[in-house]
Amino acid sequence: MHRIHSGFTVAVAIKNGESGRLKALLKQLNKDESKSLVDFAGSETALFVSGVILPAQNYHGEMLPETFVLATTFCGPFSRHLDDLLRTSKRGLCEIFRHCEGFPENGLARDIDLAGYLRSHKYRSAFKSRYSGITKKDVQEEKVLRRQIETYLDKLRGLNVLDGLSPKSIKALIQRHIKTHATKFNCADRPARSANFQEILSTWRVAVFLMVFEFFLFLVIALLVTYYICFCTLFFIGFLLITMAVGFGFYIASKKSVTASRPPDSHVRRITATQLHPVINEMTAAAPLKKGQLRKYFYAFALRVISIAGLIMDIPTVSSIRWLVVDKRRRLVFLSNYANTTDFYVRDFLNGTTPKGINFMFSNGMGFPDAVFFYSGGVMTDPEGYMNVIHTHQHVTDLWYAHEQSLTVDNINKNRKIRDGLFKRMSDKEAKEWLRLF
Amino acid sequence: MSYSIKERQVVTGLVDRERSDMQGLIARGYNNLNSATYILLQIEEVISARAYFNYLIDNHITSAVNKNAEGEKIKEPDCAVHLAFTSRGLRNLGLHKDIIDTFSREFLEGMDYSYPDPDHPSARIKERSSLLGDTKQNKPANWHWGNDEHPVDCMIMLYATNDAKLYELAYDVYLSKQHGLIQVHEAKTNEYVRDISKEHFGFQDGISQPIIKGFSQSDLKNIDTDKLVNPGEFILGYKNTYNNFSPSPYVNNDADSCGLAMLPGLSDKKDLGKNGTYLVFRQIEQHIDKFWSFLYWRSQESGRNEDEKAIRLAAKMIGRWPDGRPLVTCPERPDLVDAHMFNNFNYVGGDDEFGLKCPLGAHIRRTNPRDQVHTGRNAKDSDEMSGKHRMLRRGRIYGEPLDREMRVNAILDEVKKSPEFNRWRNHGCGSEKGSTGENEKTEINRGLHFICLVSDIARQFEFVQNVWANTSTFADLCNEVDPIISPRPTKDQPDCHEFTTPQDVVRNRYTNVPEFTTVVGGAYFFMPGINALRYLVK
Repeated sequence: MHRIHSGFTVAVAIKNGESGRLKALLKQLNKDESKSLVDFAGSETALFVSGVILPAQNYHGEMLPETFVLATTFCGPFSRHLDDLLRTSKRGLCEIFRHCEGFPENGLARDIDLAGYLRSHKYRSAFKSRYSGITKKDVQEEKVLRRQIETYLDKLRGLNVLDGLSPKSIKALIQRHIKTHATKFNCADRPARSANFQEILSTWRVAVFLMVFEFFLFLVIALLVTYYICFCTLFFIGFLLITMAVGFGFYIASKKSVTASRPPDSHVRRITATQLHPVINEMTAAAPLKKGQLRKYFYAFALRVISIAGLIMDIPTVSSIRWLVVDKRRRLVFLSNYANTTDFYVRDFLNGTTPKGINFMFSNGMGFPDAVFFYSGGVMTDPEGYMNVIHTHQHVTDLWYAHEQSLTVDNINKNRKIRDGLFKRMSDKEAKEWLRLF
Repeated sequence: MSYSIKERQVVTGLVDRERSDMQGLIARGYNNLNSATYILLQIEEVISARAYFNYLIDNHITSAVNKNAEGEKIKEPDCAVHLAFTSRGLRNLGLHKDIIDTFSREFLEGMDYSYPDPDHPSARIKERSSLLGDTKQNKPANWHWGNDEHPVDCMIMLYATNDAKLYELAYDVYLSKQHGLIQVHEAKTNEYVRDISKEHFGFQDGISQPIIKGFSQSDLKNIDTDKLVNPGEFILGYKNTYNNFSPSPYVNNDADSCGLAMLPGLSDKKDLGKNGTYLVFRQIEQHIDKFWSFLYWRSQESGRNEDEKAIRLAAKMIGRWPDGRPLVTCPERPDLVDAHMFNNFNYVGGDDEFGLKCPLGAHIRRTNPRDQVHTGRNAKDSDEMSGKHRMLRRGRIYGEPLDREMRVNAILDEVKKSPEFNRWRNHGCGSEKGSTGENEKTEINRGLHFICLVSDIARQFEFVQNVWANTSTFADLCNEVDPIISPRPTKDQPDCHEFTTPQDVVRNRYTNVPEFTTVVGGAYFFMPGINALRYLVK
């Protein structure tokens, strides 16, 4: 079974007049320490869970409904995650979706029915996790392992036994120490399973993409070899299609729109108050798309391509991130779990090469600064406009679960390196590098 | 990006034209003025207060002018007077709400802002305190000024060549003339001894100052032009590092606003922020006895004796030797570095990616990480990112130093006579002993009046304090915060009490590191340009 991280997103319109009650329920679930209704911590697969109510928003004269979004970041196959969610949080999910359209008044008694409901309201997203391949259990075990080695090194240092020892000898002492605590650290005597190529292949989307790509590659080579004229024709058609796509993109991007102005401070305060955890936080933003039928389809298609081809940009402070369009491709939704506090995290998008990717992903949202061909200008030339629009479209996440709130992605990946290297044969130089991880 | 001769001429011309409208503190740290005091005030009676402020503006406020009408350099002033307001002060001056709302949110809220939690009416949400680490003993309720109990409306900053002249200036400018104001607190500073600009722990301070395009230092020959910073990073109304304007307060373009410049891009608005800046003031009490006692008894660093080991660990916590030499360029001992190299170094570029010379969690590495690789970025992008969070510091120390010349060995000798030192001797490996309770005010003895000028409080000051100083995972560390200025451990980060010094093979790790500083007061001010000052007080 693979350990790839994926995103599962459900979006359903809320029944008329039910959003107040749903909000109260989400807040209650967020605080519920008895975990009688939802127990995401008891789930083996759920890494992050967000439950947020998107308000009714105006899409060029048409009101988009109040919508509930449930977004999970999970590890492993989707079917397993769904089973896991139902096992640990079925009662709570039924309580939540009772307030949403299409959910029967008397609830859904059978797991299969609730699973069917969730599947039927599932949305695809352009998703990325920055520590894919590492399970929830791994993260905890490796955190404890690191602390144990840290404490042991302190003890050795205090006893003055490290002086004169080679890195390899010190590492051997650590290995011996961990072996004596084998029951506690049975994870550490072998390298962890990483998200290797075979595992990546097990996600069907990538497999299908590769197959299609290989098929066309084969076709092109075959045509090239056998039918030169035919190849030229196909090449010309391909060139024409690409030119048209670029032209469409350019046409959409050339439409001018108004950038959002500063939202009321009270709104920003309400949002930031929920995102002051010292290390890991969550944010949700949702905005109607800018005007244009062509834009709706172009953006939805672009997100699909980006998602399948794994082209989502690397944002350093992100644990997991996703973009999707809901409400018949009229509303852009962005969800993220990240390190830092909200304003500073969003500012991080303005550094290095990230703004170019941000321009593409965000500039279709209403109020975002226009970017030249979705690439240059935009947030780069109007950072304050970008901050304003992010604040304007941010929404309070009433229900949030994070499996580990004190470690950043880089901490987690570093702990993984410690575990992987612990019993690996190393030269003195490699052992020295490994010891620098502490 | 290089700083071409043409750009230099344009920016210098731009700045020179406006110097008469800037308060001089933006352009000068007043190193020639050894004495200073900051008088923190409340407005009691607004009409009298306005009359007094008008008198100050007409007669005393010092501008940044450095040339006479003939274009010749004029000598540095022998005294200086500046005026700045908090958002509460602007409200009490009677400024219209629509204008007040154009200031930045963090300035309007202030450093100690809290509000009732809608979900728990008995609790309060303290966003700023949480971001800045003003918790435990640092919490605003314990402050001597700047909190609900002692709110501040404005600050008069006085600078003179020595204490005697300062008293004269204070009498002429403030004591004999002021009306309608109540003094909340006087934050006196310690008279500088010539050529010694050290803080109370015994370390040279204020070395790493950004150099601003258009100001005289940017014309010096040995300046790395890539490191020059756009004026808009510190002065409102100019382009910042993003090549954009930081958000500036504004007013309608009407008869009342005739002295103000236009707001860039909007013909119906005038820029109230032009040539002004936001001023962050935090009074930080330094616990010298605790600092040196901890270092003396707990240092595992190399050294010929305990004093040397303590000084080496202190240097590792700060990132510089006491005389200001950076550890990156002289890791073993403070030698072999020319004065101009004190601030001309990088971490990755200085072959110290892993912190073997200057620990990753050292104070100067956190507060100005230079090319220190930020999570997931390369050195170039990191350097660019660091450049977007600079501050122009104008702080001074207060309180009688333990040693007049601030020699660390002499300070350490003094500390050895203190009860704190003996407490640490008796509880050498234990946790912090004898600290004051969380609800007790920390006595004001000696410390630093931290003052910095920024054009965006959130992006510059709060970002550095929160993301780089107070975050336990900076540079992929675990359980460490800034060893000098951050609170630890906190309710949210109970394991955050460590400091690590990477070594060639196995690092030294210090646990239960106590807090060596406490915030005892603070506020956000707006220091307007002189035309804006006139607009505000008329």
